[in-house]
Amino acid sequence: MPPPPPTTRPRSSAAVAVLAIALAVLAVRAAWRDVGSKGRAPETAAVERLAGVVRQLPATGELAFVDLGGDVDFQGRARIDLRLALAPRVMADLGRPARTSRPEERMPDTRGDRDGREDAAEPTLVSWIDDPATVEARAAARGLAIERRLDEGYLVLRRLPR
Amino acid sequence: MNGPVVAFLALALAAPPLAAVLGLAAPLLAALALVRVLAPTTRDRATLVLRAATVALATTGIASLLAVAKGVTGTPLAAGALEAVVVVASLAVLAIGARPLRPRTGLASPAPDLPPLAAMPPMGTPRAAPARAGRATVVARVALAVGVIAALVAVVARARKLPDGDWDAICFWTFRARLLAAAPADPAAIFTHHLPDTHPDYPLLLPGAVAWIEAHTGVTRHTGLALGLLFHAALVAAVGGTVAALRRAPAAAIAALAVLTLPRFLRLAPSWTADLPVAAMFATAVGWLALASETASPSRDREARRLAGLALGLALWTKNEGCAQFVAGALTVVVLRSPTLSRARSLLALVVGAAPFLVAYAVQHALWAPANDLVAGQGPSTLARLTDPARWALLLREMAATLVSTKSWGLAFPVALLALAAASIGPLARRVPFLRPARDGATGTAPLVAHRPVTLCIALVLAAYATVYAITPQPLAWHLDTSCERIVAHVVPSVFLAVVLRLSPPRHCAS
Repeated sequence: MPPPPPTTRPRSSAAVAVLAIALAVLAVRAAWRDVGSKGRAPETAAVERLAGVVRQLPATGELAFVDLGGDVDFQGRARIDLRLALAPRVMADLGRPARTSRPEERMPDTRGDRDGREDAAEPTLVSWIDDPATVEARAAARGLAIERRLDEGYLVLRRLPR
Repeated sequence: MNGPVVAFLALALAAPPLAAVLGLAAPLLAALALVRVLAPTTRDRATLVLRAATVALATTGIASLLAVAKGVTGTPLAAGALEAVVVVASLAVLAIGARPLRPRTGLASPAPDLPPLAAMPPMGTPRAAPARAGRATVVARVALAVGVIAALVAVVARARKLPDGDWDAICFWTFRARLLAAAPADPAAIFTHHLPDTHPDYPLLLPGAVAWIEAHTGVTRHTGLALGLLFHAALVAAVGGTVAALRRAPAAAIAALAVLTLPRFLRLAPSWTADLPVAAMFATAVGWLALASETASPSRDREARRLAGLALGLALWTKNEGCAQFVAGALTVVVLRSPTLSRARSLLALVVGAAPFLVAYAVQHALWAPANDLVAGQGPSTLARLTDPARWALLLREMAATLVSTKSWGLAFPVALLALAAASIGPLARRVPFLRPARDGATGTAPLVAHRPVTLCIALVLAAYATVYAITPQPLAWHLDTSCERIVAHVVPSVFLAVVLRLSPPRHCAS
């Protein structure tokens, strides 16, 4: 009995070449669409503003950030996140509450949030923002001095030598 | 002997350019050494591309471990003695490993040049002279080059629009990287539980790697893009490299090219986010499992499983979804029994490979990270959520719609998914010539099985993700809306790997 024929299927070189070309066309099409997309993602402006602050975070310790206010919009959440993250103890000293937020509290209308638009139903953050003079005074009373001002109303605080 | 060398290197680190070079060289050399330790005999040309992808990914993982170790101990991230020690130790390991391997029984040549797979000629068979690349191979490689250039242009162009990555990158990943640098020796600040929105429980590969690179190079604007390009290249290399090791050259080029047709990944690459690296690590892991399934050598099998474990460990250290991937990988090696290893040894090899990052993940979550919201939100209502048909209907509908979305994955992926589904249906696959299982080129009888661990692992990961959605304490519609596409992306490129492995003939065959 003769041995079984090779069970590996011969593939037509032409078919493989056509498949490769078709995939290359799809890859170029995907790239072209991405490059040629108009404008930026809806949240890009908000991201860039926040990124400007993140970029300025110092690379050394002993610094704290305090948000001195500004517009209450989609970025309000991240502003407060940054402020609390960098100096939770300092913030507690300044009399600000630690707060957790659940998605269901924060963004009842997720479409609005995803689009980067201010959501009318989102809980207001205004009550979290003290006026600058108050924060400065509180900071000074607790041994903190303003190091420099960052974008978006952030301050870099430094502990004063005792 | 190492003492003076370490001292010299530590002094030399004072020069900034050298500090940057050594700071980047330390994790790279450590990754090379780690891969060498885990797989000392897997050094053949066939697996070169896949090993390169593994080393690239492991480099980022080791950089993150070093950054976290320095960050939580209050050591400045800039170059210092640690880098020198790592460089010297890694070079020592590589020097020891560079010695020729002992010839195996009946072999005159050392092992490194051996083809690793059962699909290749039996040991001792003279190797044929390398054939000239056929026309199809040339066309496929040119097409791949075109795809690579197009993807590169698209990624760089998008990075100019989002120089700091997207929202998640700034709020989670880059933010945590900055904290590693800005709050030395203060894990409570780095992982503060006051900020659930920044996900302080997320693993640290990406923040650690970003912090490490920025601290050593001083570059902060393009780190994410560089990492994104690295991860994208590793993803393409993992898929193409696996096929190159097991199948023929045109198939490898086609598999790699298919990954480049995924529009979503062109957007993920410059985003500085963690879903692209997780996809690359998953593809690398299933790639090594595929290689393990078609080798006849117990040592090669064991080593491939260790490297699969390493990739799964890296995924675990990148995102919590890596837990599901690791469990899926473990189940895969248990269910699909290796022809050369027992189930226990297969599993052990996987765990050994993942061990460095399993330990890091465990330490982070035991000591510092607050509870994950999905875990903390479980309780008496979990069972009710798990058995709610309406939730399952919603999540399955959403996941299915995401999987077939041409907006996210282009036109090639739904076709590949359809082909894989059709090839998985036995009667259909037997009737359609194109879908018939390929067989071993050496024996002509044994079916090729490399696609099986890939397919099973993908299915298990998707099942795990679906289960997590079912029990999520978050509003399900919101949770699906904000995450489904990103996590499905973890397995999408590996579908191309499974399809090509399933449908293409072996590397060495009669035809």
